[in-house]
Amino acid sequence: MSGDGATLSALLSDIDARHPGLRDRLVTQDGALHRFVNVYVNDEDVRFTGALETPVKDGDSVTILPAVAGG
Amino acid sequence: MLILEAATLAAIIAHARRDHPDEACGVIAGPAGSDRAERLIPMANAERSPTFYRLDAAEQLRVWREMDDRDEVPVVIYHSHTATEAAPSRTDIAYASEPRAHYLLVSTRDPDVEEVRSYRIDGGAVTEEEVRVVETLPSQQPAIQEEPHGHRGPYPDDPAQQDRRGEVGVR
Repeated sequence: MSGDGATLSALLSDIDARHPGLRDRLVTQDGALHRFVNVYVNDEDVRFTGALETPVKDGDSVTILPAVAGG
Repeated sequence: MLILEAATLAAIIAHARRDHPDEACGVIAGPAGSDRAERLIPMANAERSPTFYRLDAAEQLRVWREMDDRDEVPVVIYHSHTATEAAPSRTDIAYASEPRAHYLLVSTRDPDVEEVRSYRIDGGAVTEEEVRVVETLPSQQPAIQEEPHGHRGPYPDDPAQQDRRGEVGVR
């Protein structure tokens, strides 16, 4: 799927308008990325590039994987 | 039921022993839809912790993409517990996101005892399953036994007896 926005957060909101619920699965009530998902912009883990404020531009690709984790 | 090759299981246990007292983790990839644990991929525990594991995000992306390219899925997701039994913790259940995967747990709490158990974890429901260890995985397409053609009733295909086919209890 594709969408618009200057940041990852804006992009997710844009896509959520067409796929309701998507944003809630990735973003907590406090507005942070869930710990149990990995989000990458152009294969870079967004935890190191500004999380939801990571800038995105035309042609960038976003990949979402469930984190594989436990205790 | 999870079917594992003995060599694969030995390599997983060796990985868990090597990383002890930290938890070890990794996956076994197999062709999509096959449920065959074919290709062992030991991975790094980004947490380097005795009580928590998490696949390194960059390594996970690389491995998941490689599986995609090969039309594989993570058939098995394994990790070790280093001080407790080989059973899913609350955190394991909360994070489990692959209902089609076998969650294999290895406990290294006793250096002399191999403790390996496997589970399905689906939306919070945990089901233990049997682990069967084999020398080599069964061949990919099990040979289909064709039913022999012809008469299979109480009387053989003997022309002299054909008129008796269908008779039941006649002496």
